[in-house]
Amino acid sequence: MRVDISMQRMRTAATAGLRVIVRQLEPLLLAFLIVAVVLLVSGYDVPAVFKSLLGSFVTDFYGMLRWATPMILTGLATAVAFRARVWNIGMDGQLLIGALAGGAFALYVAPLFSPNLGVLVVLIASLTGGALWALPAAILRVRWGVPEIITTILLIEIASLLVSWLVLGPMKGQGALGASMSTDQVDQSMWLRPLKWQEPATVGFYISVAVAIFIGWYLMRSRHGFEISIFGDNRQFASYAGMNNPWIVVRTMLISGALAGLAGGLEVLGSMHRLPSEFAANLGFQGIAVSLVAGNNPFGIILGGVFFGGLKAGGTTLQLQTETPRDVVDIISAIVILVITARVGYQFLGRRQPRLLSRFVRSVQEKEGA
Amino acid sequence: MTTLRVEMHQITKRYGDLTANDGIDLVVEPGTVHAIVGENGAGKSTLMNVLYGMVRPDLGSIDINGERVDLTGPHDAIRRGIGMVHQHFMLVPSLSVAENVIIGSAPTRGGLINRRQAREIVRRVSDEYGLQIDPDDRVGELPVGSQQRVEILKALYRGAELLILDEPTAVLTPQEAVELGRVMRQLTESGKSALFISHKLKEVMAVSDEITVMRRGRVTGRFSAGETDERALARTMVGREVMTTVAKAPAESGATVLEVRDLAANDDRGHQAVRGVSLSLCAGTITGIAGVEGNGQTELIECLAGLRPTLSGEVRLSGVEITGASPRRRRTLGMSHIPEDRLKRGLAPNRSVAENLVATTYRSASFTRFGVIRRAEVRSNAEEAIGRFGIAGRHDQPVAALSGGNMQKVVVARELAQDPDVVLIAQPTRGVDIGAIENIHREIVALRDRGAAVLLVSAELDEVMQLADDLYVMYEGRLVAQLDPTAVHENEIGMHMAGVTPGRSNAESMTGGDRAR
Repeated sequence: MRVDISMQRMRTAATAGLRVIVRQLEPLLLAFLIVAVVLLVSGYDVPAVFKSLLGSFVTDFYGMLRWATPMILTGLATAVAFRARVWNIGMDGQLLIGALAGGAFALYVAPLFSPNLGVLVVLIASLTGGALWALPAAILRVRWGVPEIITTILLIEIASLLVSWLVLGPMKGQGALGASMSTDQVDQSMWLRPLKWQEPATVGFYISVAVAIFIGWYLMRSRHGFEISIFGDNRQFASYAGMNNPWIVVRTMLISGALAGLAGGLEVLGSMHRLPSEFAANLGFQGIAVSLVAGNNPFGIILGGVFFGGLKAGGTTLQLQTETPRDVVDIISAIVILVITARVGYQFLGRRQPRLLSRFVRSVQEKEGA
Repeated sequence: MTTLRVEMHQITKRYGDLTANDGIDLVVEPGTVHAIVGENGAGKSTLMNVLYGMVRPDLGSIDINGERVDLTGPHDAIRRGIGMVHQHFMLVPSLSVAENVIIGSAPTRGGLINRRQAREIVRRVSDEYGLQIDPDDRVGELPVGSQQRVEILKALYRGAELLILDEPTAVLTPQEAVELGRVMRQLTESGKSALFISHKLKEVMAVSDEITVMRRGRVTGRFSAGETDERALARTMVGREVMTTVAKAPAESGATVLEVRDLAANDDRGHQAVRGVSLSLCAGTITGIAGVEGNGQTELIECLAGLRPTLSGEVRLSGVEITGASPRRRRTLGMSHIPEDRLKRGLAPNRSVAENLVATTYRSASFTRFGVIRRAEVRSNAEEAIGRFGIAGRHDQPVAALSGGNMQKVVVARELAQDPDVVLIAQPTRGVDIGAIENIHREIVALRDRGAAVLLVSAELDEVMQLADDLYVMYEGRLVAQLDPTAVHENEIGMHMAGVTPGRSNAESMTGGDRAR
């Protein structure tokens, strides 16, 4: 009898787990489906596109990890904010300023230190830069109630213009030519070590994973993490319970911005080795997709980051092999965001969600139960 | 005029794992008042929504005058002579009574609304059933009881023969409730019938002919009003014997703990809702505030809890001025607060029971060390509270997975854990089962006996009268009377609640008045 009960429990637990995974994969599958239709209509060879896109998970392993590095961080930046229901969607701006601060320190300050210490200084500078770029939005929000969803996105544009101006002007490098304007190269001693010779991924990937684990611990165990979860669940309750809500918003935004800023610093030290006048890789935006697919869970974000990193790397191969624009990858992220947002929207409206696979799972479950 | 005989057969409705209605049979004879009583979640509202065509049953059928019908929606129900008065009125406050009544099915002449005819119809129906409604009154200016009669009028105008009323007395003063009972009786005299949901057994006994008791989705008893009493109803409802009165020793009042002077505050729309309230709460005393909802009680409590800005006035807690102080500061000074809307304000529904139980105290050294939450302590704290308050749930379950009564217990457990000096309690038994009410009342008295000063706001007059050692009535933002709950009659409180000052000859109010000074 007891055995029966525990078996049944395990089975329900297993189906519940399956449901969670299916629930997270659904938007991805749906996104692939829509992209397939778009490609088909536009006259591309759909199987070839997907083969080359997904093939890179195997063929371009280090390219996948290279792109996973910043995406895990921007994903974490999203998760910290979204868990508190603070809508920082300006990770691209914070990443740019993080890269700017990191680049500036790498060029002008870090040479004063030993290389290892120099790297540390650069990374701290990029963390701080990202955090500072999130600060105005946080202040506008808690002081005057300006929605951060608007201010953070506007700050992207400002960041981008600021970086362009600095790189084309005061920070312009000696050998910079033509369209690819940039600063001087960062001293080679500070470049992050590649995971394998001549491969794009660096130890920056380990840094990202370590940060993800730390953030996971922070959200689940720290006092601020506790406040974030309560605040994110019910703001009215948080203030009733005596939590200092403005301060929670500010701290959350600072951490979120710092994480995005760190992604920028790692880009400079790990991949670009200099600060170009513009690099619009949409890494912040894709971080939203990463975090949403992972259900804002830091550990899931490691997987999500690797997955989207693989897509991003695949996008490059794709363009070379099939003449399909690599923007396909952005389209996939965009659709993932749309699908998940729509689902959350449905929850807000209190409607039953239109679930494809989970409905199927449920019906299987019901049959089992009956 | 055709009368309506409605039969519901074996109505079953499931929501996921929950069976809201499980094979319910119900017959409403024409010319009767039929009450449905039951605890929260017994399935009363679902059954009414089935009958009004808003919810389609999974199984079962409805016969009207012997003919099987398949209600496709409220429109269909109205067409067949079933009308419903919802708990929340669906009226346009800026329009007149007549306009509200005819909305959607107005008498027209040449494509224009015939206002004169509308007014005449309203007047005629109002007179016929003794509704005492003037068709030209603006709905927004009417008291709640009259607004409800406008809703009834609306249903009658649309040809309702059976009127469903969902907890109609929840928003009424005692006098208005009596008046509503009279209206229902008058309806039955002309062959119409009324079906109403209530959990106030006293009024159910007073106005109904037939009483159906529901419990957990099933009918557990059918009575004729003449052959039962409140005690038997309560037993059938809860499934066991229920104490209806609280045993309470006389209060041993101590020093003044909370002092409020001339407090004023706005409501959410920026209108002044609290207008110069002064009162003092003493240790070991329950101070009750009676009043119809919406007279500033909610705002007063929120203002005292630090959740609503104070316009003017002064609040002192144990001698320390706390006007404008943050909720956290108030809490550290020994105040706690059981809010009116537990889910909205008192809980983080998706977080665990354990987390909810420490949400107000997580900063203390016993739960946090070096900025890190001490999980073992949080968990043992939860397990202790679960045992002490009999919460049916595990420490790691999200609060939303608990039943309403158990969510309530989580809030109470948390708010009483710190042995507070002052406890603000708003509508402690709202949405709580009769069986659990008893427990909550005992807890409140025990709290007082431990020396806490309790401020109790409730729309349930019986509750305030039973529990309070000192009783105020709040009307339009002011405390209009201070009364002795042991000596005052319910009717007198009702008068104050309605804003009517009882005559000076009334001895009880004189004593009350003297005490106030």
